[in-house]
Amino acid sequence: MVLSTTERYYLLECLSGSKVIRADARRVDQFRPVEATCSFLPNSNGSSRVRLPDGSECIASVKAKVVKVESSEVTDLLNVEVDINGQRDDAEAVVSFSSILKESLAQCIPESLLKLTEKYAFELSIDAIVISYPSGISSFYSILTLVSMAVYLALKSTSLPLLTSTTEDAEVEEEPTFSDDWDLAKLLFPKDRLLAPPLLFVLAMVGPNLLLDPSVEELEVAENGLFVGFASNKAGAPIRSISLNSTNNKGLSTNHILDAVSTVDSVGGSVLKALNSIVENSTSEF
Amino acid sequence: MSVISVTGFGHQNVSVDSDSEDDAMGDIEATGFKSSIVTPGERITDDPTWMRGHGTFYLSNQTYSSVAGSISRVSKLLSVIPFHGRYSPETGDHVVGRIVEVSQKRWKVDIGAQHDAILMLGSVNLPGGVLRRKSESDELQMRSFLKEGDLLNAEVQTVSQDGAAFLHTRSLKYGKLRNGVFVRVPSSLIVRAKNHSHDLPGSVSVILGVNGFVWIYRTKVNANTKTENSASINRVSAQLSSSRDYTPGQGSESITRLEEESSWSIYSDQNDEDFPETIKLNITRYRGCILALAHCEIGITGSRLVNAYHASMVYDNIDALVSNQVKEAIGRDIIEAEKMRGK
Repeated sequence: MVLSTTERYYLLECLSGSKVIRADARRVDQFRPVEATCSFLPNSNGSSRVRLPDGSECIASVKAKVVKVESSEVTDLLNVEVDINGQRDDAEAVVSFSSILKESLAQCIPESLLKLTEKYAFELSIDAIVISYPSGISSFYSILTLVSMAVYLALKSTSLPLLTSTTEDAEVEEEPTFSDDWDLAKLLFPKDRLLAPPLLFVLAMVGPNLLLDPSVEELEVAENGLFVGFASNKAGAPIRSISLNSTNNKGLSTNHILDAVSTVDSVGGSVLKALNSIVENSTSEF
Repeated sequence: MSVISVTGFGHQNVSVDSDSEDDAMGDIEATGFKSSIVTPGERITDDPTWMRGHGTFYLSNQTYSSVAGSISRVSKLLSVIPFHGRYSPETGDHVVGRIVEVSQKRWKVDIGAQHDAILMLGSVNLPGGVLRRKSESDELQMRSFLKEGDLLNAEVQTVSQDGAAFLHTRSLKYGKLRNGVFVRVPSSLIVRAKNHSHDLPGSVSVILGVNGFVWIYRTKVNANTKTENSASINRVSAQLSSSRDYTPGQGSESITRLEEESSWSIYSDQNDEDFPETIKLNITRYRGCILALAHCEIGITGSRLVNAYHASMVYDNIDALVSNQVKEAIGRDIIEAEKMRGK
């Protein structure tokens, strides 16, 4: 999106002052209203669809497969694929989204969660497709939050069939069998445990200020960007600086990074709560 | 104060009492059509005497609708006006557009229509006044007047056969836009009116482009001081005005003002130096109000915008305007108020 010179100056002036006035009336730590739904794909274990008011939309699905485990690495049991409509499979954004999500998921999912028996485990295939995004977007990194929300919801709504055979099959030659009653299926992330998939928050830097969930216009005037992970109720790795446009880039200061972490720390909890309420209110129709 | 609102899909629209729609329905029923609202491919009539207008097609003696919309008939001309869809320019429309390309003697302007509109170099006011002749050097420095990304407001002069609009900015109310923000709403929501630029309370003005492009900006400081300012730019006229003698054209506005204001300042890329924070907040509030009206699918007019602004004053913090519930509440307020006044 190309802004006119006067528009750009006006936005910069509003966003870099001591009192930030965002064009869409949000506070610096406020998200755009999100529309989301869960478990809408009949043939996947968990699925979600998330939409932003600017028209960006992402669909995510989680499928589980029983595999024989040779190594005990979680990364081998996770396949993360991100697809962005209209982008090649080897496009920079597509490749880096996949690897960022995979890395952060591998850190948060303990091996015990996927392990079925001594010999077998679930292999998760997590696919996210960005089906639309604003036309004049200057950097795909701005939709990382959307993708991570979709993946979060899909994983949270993932249910796996109940194992009926024994878990100790080290000596016996036995293939695991499952109950065919889906009412007995177990959630991958049980409600009572603190364990949750990670979320990633994108922040744009304008002057001394940091803006959460930047809109298309704000991306255009952003001087730098950051994304910060949020897992097990606190902000943390991965933290990385990203360039949100190709025209004006400035350096980050340590204050920016500390600010970003504390902002994410303070809002992360309420975002999780809002997303969890969607998972709890969604009923699987299948 | 919530940081985020996550809701399920599908929002409820504010229910609009359809008194006026019922009237329209009754009117159509008299003409023998089943309903006034049709979907693509729906048969409208098998009477071949109707002339077929926009949004219809003709197949073996039957007329079908090619869009989803409402039937309109003007004597024997039958057409379907689509509910949504791209803006189709008409002569005389006041539009807001963004320059996308600078080419030979013309600018291409995005006005949200099927084709980019064309603004000819000859259809703009060039610095130097009305009597100035266009020269070759103007063609070479077209980018110094308007460049890619610039926003301007203009009038549709003509529409060519294929639907491309030709614009002109040959009036002081048209030209480059400064001191504000841009917002886009569906063009079907802008109600065509005599006047599309409004001065609103709170030192904010708005241009509601018929194409759904809206520019919200700070109201120009009043015309008299403005003339003095621009006069001081022009050194000769400044000297004239400082001497007490009568100067030709003094007191009269029209042409001399055009002459003075047609200096380079009309193409300046500078916002106002002192821009009070309160006005910026008001601009943001108006932007929220426009989006609230659009969210509730209420036609946008200057007076409704003022009502929405007053209704939004209940919320001290403008960040409340982000949430859909607040938008719907504002929409409901406006409809209620208009019903009370019997509109």
